[in-house]
Amino acid sequence: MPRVNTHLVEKHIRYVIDGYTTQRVEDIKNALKSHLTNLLDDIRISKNGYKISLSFRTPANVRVMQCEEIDELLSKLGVMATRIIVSNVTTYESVTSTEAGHKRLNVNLLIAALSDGKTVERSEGIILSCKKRDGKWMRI
Amino acid sequence: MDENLERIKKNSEELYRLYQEGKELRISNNTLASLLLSAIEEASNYFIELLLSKCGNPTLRRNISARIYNERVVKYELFLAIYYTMQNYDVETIIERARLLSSKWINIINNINVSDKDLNEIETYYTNYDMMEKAVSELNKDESCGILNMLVQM
Repeated sequence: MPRVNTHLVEKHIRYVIDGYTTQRVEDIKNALKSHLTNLLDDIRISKNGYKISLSFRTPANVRVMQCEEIDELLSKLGVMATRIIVSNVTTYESVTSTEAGHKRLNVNLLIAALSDGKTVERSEGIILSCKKRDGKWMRI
Repeated sequence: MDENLERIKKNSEELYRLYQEGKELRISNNTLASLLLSAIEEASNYFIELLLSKCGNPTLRRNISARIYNERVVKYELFLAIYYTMQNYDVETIIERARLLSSKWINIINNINVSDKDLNEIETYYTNYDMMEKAVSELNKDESCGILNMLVQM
């Protein structure tokens, strides 16, 4: 079996938000940092035309924001949110793979690659997810 | 096997067959590449569907279908990440190669001239489909949910 060493580092709450904006990515990033004091420095934003996906995380011991709250915050930044997913995540580090030639899928390695880095953030499940329909937030 | 799963799998296989027949008919490399990449996209859809059926979480299913189903680049990245993970590359190499190649494929879909070499390269990836399918179908419920939870955040 290929070896993957993972050490638990921390637990967080990650917010993933889809929406629309006319603002610049850098401006949103900076505004987000100044509005959310308990934000941890791992903000991911991708923008395509007016469509935007942004993601940030807070410590696990702070209160989970509700969709309406997140929406209100983002509208201050000029982002119109349409979908919000909130998950509990756990961060691991030091992912190494040593042996070769095995044909079983190494899930930890795959998740590390999909999560984009050496520090692996693994989702432990969705806490809250909602979608805006006719101007109202619906739990989905 | 689940009817929906079977349908997606068949789509992928038929697209590949069309590609093979198109090659005999000497249709253009661009068209051939579109067929191959659609076959890969369907293969990725099939893997996602397979994971969803193992995981069995309806909230995840709804979020995956809303966020991933139209994102071609995520599907290419998933396919490539599974492929490279099975080759046991280290994590940085997997990320780099999956990202590089998936953006190249997006350019190909957007009609950049496709060389014979590019076409053969894409086909090589597709021909590993069986091995990848076997590996994905061996995963258990927790592993499947873990991958999907990650995908939903991409």
